[in-house]
Amino acid sequence: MQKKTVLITGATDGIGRALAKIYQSRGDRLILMGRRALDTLNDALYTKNTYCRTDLSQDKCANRVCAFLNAQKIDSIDLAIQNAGTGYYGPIAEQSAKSIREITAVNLMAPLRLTHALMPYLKKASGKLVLIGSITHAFPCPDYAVYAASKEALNTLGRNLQIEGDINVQIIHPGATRTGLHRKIGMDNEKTKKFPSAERVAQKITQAIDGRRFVATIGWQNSGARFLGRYCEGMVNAMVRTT
Amino acid sequence: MKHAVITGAAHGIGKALAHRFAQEGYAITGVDIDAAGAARVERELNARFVIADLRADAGIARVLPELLQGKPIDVLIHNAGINAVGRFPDISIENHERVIAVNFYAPMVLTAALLKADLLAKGASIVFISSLSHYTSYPGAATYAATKSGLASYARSLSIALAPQNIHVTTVFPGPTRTAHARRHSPRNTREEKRMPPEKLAHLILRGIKKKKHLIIPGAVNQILAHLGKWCPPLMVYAMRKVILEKL
Repeated sequence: MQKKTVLITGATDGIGRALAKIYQSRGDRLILMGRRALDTLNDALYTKNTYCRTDLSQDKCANRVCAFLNAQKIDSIDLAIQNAGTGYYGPIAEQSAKSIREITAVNLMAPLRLTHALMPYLKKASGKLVLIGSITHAFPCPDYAVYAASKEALNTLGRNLQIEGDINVQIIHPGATRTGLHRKIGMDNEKTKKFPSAERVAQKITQAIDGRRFVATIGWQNSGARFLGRYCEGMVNAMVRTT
Repeated sequence: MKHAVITGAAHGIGKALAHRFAQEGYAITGVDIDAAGAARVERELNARFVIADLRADAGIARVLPELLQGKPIDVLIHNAGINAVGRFPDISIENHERVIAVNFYAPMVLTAALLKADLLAKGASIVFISSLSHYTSYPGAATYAATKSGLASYARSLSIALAPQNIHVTTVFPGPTRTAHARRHSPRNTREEKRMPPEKLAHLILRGIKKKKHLIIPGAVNQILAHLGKWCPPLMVYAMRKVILEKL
């Protein structure tokens, strides 16, 4: 198989890191993006030539990526996986404007900025844009309403970009996954231990990317749950209300 | 006297809502960026206005202290919204950003802050003006559609979170409405008379809020379109492509 150029956001941890490993093992040219400093990442994956340090909550993130691509003499991208995401867990009234801003910036605004900036690169390679959503977009989530809303917005953005048809867009909705996100947002309980590992979920995501579905959900249980959340709204709302 | 707070109340749907709720005996506080338009509505209704730009944090920060000084809110309507129409790459990133700020970020920040300040009266309603695009898709306004769907999702979560406090949440999905906003953003305006008058929409919204409805899809045609979009997406996608995208 021919080597591809693969860009992954949120690539220093969780699903993003697991995806990076998979594409590395396929011999692809990687562009990995993350917030952490390069010297704190102890892995051969991350080098001066593969790692672009960018804070996606900042306005300038797309410029930084373009500058990095320019410096690396990369002018086309075969696959851009927008995986980075952040969250908040807790009562709606207690969520600060800063937290709402960060989730909006990282989960929605950054994918939009990068899509806008990377479109010429993707077009050149007839490449594919992959947006990593979440099955929570189809559910009422009283404890993480802004997160779910950002994922629902991302899903709709992706759907409309598919219809506009300038580039090939795929939306992939994983279910709950054992990653650092839960601890970061203060959700570290027994439940998260039962979630499938990031490696397993990443494996299934790459299968979905190799496939042709416009909108893919990872795992049949998640597919079923997402279907109910979307099409049996009232019933699901009542179920969530009583739990 | 009950108190309604309406964002984007100087024009269009917001103005019609201000009139309808004033008729119903509500004291009105409007929020708008346009001081001249706001002054006009103030004269017509004896309403109070906060002039603020919801695109910026500074604007939202201006609204909050004004509302905190006022009476408890019985009906809070997040109506302010902007659009950016064109193929996704043709719209500047600054415009995409503004749409997200006004349509998505501002309502969530205002809601959280007003809940925190305990400014919503017992039995209050929080109303989000989403869009029929949530069901039908809206190629040619991908970011607008994204924010309106995001808002619907937020409202759905909020509705469950606030039920124990006896605060009701309603989401409205208006279709094409006869406003200056719609005229600005439609490729051609040949069928303007077919759009729903904002006064009628405001009436349907008031009725829905009184009945404590969760979802309001105003008008029979819009309801049919919403169902088609939900259960048979390819058909609506085809139609929206013909009606909007190919005319841009």
